[in-house]
Amino acid sequence: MISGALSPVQEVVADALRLPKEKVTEEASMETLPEWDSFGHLNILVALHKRFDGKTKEIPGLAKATSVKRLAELIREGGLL
Amino acid sequence: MAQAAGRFHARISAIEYALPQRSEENSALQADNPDWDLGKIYRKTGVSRRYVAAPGQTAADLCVEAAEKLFASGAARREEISALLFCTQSPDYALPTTACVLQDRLGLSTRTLAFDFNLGCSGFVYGLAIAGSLIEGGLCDCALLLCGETYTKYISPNDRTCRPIFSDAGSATVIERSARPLIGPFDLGTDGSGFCNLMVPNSGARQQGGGNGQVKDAHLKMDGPSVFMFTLSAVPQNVQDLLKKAGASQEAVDLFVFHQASRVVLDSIAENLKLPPEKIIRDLDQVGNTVSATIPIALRRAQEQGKLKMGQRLLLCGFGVGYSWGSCLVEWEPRT
Repeated sequence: MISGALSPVQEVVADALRLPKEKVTEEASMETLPEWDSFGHLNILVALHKRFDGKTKEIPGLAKATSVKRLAELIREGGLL
Repeated sequence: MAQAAGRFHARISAIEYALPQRSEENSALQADNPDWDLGKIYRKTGVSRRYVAAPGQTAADLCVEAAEKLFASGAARREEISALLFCTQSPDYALPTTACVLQDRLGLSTRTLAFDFNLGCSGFVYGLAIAGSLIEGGLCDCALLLCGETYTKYISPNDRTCRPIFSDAGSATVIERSARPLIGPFDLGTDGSGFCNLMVPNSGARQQGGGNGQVKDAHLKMDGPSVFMFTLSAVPQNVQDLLKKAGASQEAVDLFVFHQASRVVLDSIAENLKLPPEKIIRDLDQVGNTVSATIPIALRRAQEQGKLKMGQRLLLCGFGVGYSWGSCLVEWEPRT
């Protein structure tokens, strides 16, 4: 279940992309948000890195996760939430 | 895991560098790519100006220019050189070894041992390790380490990831035997599982794609997010491993000179290691990412600006394409 991880990830993504949280839904991804381009994705990775005290570097595949759901899944599986 | 421990009775004696005549500011990128957001790009890269080698100008040419500048300054004499190491991923030829050509072009003794080694961002640190090993092993007394690249020749003009970052340059560093061990220890590593995240496909013996009459892609490709995550994973650990090996603390290091990859990478490393800003050499804005030449160029420019003092303890750290990484400690005691 990734539900517990969705909200924190949504918050981080919203902050990183400088969007209101309500615009970053559970379905948000690189395909649905124009702000989530390659630079936006880098901002998200940096923000997640800070949010989780550097532990995201231990999660394989995170760099290629380009949706809120997939990020939340990996964060959850990585034991960070 | 590959590691090289120990300190070498060698020192960095002198460094010089050369940049192509033509440089390109970010406004030039806009002209070619009107839809690019240059403000966003600059915030990530920290690069305002890149240098672009002329058609027909190679990494070897730039290194010759750097080496001749070094010899002309009197910092070293070509007669003293007994080893020539050329670090590049843009050799003049697949064969012969470009270092052999350079031995002749630079008028070095035919008793010089010379070879190329193919590394990118970690190349300068690996080069110091090789030169130090040759000196410590009695194979030479004075080595010339040339690090040069012309990555711009691999980059598509519309590549928003690579074009704003990479720059061409050549550097020449003399490393010579010293009474005290001034270079080392080292901590070096490799993870080839990430090889495809920064590569030029179809640039060597292994060919891919190109079926059905399609032209094979031979442009530099970088998966920025994956390379970024590798950096966060490998670099802070590498620095900590090196300091542990040296029995030293971060506080004992006077200056950190990281490979000048991009602003976001340097910021993230600094934050991760909690390094005070005044201890980090940053030299990205006006030169760009010159791959294996970033560290020697940053050192030389810091020296020119009076930022380096004799006896300072420097931590050098290169990381990137391969993936390959390495760090070392150096006591700064050049000849001049």
